[in-house]
Amino acid sequence: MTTISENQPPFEHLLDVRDLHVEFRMRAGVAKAINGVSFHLDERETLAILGESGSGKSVTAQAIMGILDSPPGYITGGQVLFQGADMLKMKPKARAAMRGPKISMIFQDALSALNPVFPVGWQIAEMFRIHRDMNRTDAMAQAIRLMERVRIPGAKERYKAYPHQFSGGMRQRIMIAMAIALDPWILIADEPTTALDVTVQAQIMDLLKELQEEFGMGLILITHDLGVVANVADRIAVMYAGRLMETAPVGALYANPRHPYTIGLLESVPRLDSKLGETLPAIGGLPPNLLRMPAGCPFNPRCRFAIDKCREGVPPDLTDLADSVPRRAACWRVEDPAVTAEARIAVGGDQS
Amino acid sequence: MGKYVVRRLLMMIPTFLGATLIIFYLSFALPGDPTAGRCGERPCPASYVEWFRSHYGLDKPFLVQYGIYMGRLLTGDLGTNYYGNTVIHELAIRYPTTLKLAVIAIVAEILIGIGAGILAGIRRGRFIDSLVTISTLVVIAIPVFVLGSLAQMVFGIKLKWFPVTAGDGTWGQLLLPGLVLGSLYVAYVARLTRTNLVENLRADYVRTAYAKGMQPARAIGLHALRNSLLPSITYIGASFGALLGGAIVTERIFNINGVGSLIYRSISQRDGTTLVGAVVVIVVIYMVMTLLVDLLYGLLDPRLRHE
Amino acid sequence: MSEIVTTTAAERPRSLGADAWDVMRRRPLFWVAAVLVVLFVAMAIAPELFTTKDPRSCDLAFSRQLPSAGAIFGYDFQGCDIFARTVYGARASILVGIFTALAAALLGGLLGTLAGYLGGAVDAVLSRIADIFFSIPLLLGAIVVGSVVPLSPNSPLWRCVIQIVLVLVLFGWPNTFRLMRGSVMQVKPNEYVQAARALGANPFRVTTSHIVPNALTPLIVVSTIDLGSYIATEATLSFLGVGLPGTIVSWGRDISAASGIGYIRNAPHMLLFPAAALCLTVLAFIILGEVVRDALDPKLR
Repeated sequence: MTTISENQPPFEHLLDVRDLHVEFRMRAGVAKAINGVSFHLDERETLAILGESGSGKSVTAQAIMGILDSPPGYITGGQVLFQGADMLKMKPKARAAMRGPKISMIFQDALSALNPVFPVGWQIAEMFRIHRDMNRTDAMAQAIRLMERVRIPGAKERYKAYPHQFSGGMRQRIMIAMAIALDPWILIADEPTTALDVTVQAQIMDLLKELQEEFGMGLILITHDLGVVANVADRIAVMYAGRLMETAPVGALYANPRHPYTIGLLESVPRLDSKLGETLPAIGGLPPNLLRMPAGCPFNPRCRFAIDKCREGVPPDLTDLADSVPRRAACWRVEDPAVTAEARIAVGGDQS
Repeated sequence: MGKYVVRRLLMMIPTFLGATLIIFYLSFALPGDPTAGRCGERPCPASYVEWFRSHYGLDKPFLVQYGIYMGRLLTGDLGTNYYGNTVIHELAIRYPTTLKLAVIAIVAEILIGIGAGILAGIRRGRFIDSLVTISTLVVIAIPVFVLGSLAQMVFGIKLKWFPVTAGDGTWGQLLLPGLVLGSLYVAYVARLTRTNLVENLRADYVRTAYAKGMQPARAIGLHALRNSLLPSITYIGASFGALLGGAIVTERIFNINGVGSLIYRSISQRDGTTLVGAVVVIVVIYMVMTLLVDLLYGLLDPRLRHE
Repeated sequence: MSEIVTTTAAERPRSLGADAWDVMRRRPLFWVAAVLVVLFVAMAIAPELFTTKDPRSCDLAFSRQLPSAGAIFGYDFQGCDIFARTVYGARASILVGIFTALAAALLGGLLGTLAGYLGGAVDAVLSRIADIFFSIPLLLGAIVVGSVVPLSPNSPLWRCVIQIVLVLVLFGWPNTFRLMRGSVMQVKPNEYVQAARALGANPFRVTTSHIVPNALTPLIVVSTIDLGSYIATEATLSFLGVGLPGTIVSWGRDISAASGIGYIRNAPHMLLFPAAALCLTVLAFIILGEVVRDALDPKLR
């Protein structure tokens, strides 16, 4: 994986998610968790999926991985192409074999994501034993090498330690070691730093970035934290109520948000130039109940730009915007000068 | 670990003293005169009663009697009953039978209870799950003495699959009574296993196992099951004492000459010495089992390891 | 999944109780159990509404007759109407079950709260005492006490019920004690409890208005389920002859009388009907407890 294949690959993107639909069938009704999500990831690229809790970003990750709880979760449509092959059409066994060597994932809460009754080293070594049929001693040596790589002090001695004997940051390092063990093409990190202290957060993000370069992985970073995204991501996909609202290269999105929801998100971030004692604007209201979606655009009840059209019809899925960089958004009024002007104020562009 | 065991053993001392004191008090408060019927038709002469009472120490204050008894107990002497047999002997000839019953029950808990629980858990919401959930509920709702009588009626008398009573105490004869004795705990173990498995199947670490590319057999059979079985193992261990207590009913229905029958008989014969001895042994077994189960749990669950 | 639940809850905030009721009333099993409980409680309160016959006026001429139009459950050995005996037998069982469950919940709950909240020496002493009673199996202890203090055939019903309740509570309270102690210790470190303490609420207030209401759910569920098993234990004691005296109409006694091998062979109806009534009652309370637990436990939904 450290060298890129010389031949032109027969596929456009490393990962290509097309029109993905997921629903949860529960006693209270059917919740449409993902409604036509499309995005792609290229080799060595970092894509951040940004959204509030309940926006469907974790569900998207689980659907791509093929580890959705089913029941109640069902993928009802779409394609997930890995190097051109649709993973949703694969047999479960073949799909499972891809998890680890092709695509792997780390989770928010490493304490509950690691099995409490097995030693951490054993859990890392399990990857080699299952996927590579390695014997116990070799797998152990590989696991210790990985533990050292993610900078766990005293890796050899701590091979036999259990998850509860580690700090939060160390546990997340173990998760990372496990995920990169088989040198995957894609790593999905689902809120990898949310449960950690601020100082540790930076260390983990640095480690992820470093490993991504070393292993040449595509990284999907799922987060609600705009601060984390800015330093790490190449592109951002903003998610709301199971839809993508806007995708753009990270610089363009921060400098010039186009979707009203993105504008709202950026406004709610404290800035160096905000006046002391000034209240930060927040997006009013709550995300919609997935069992009873509002008519029209899902964001319209909270949108200050909403017009009748927004309440009547769902905007078309992501459409290309006129800009110097490739970017897309799903909003009826996205090219409206009124909205564009607001966006500039939101990011402080009016002062320059 | 060693320290923990010592601490637990020390904690058992007051429990043991308290439990034996209660049993001792109750047994010697048994109504009726132990000399009744010992001298034929007539009441015993006063001199005999006096000798009897002083011979068995019944003339001493209660706490002194208890002290003497405990002193002997520490040397392994459970006393001699009014019929001249040592209690140890009375117990020794009956414990094998009762232990056989308990072993059958425990094996059923492990095989049927855990097996049914796992089946129901991994096939959650399917037919087999409903079958296990409902049938265990029914078993729990039927008191053992009713179930015993019904089993005797159906399997012993109507179908003739099993002997109606188990006078000789062979494994074959004890199979049906043992299953009856264990039925309640088999049902509880099945439900406990199912509940824990269902909960653990949704645990984050099982999702991780899938994310690591494990096949379902390994994700469920190793990662989820290992954790799910911990409470069931504890429960099975703890049920041992209750099984010995429950043997009173089962042995009576199937006419088995075990410790349960001995307890029942010692009550009706006002034989306090035998009663105390039999119950004290059950309590000790129960306490030791509880300790062993806790230690085992510590070994199996690293989070609770006593260091 | 959990994220979706949160959004749902956010839109229509409702109390846990109302939510649980909503779940419960949609389950047929709940209604089956509720109807059975109401039926047997009604039998216990007013048996004369269900039968005009007297369970104690028997005619040996009818001895062991099978069910017929005149006596739908048939007659027992003494020639008593089994239907009437089954109806009248509900009273003792229901009384014992309800009062034992209540008393064990109160005693165990109170001591468990004290031990869990105060900790230290109080906890150590109470826990050791609970250990002592816990180490004697319920049935074994109840049998011994039942034979030490036998109930005389002349005792009125209330006297018998009180004694059996006391015996069952004596060996049953360590269960509720341990349960409540555990849940109080779980609730105690929560931030809202710490906040109340920091704001200067006195310990009594903290306990009654913050800890107990949040630790009570498991106690209620387990007590409902235990109610059924206490009824079963009482019947077992009566079956063994160390519970209710034969002068009181009870399921345990009737099952005992009917379970002689000769009777089982020739007159199984004598065993079947009181046994069925007993099992249905126990079943009803167990189901009720489980349905309540499922409804209150969002994890299992």
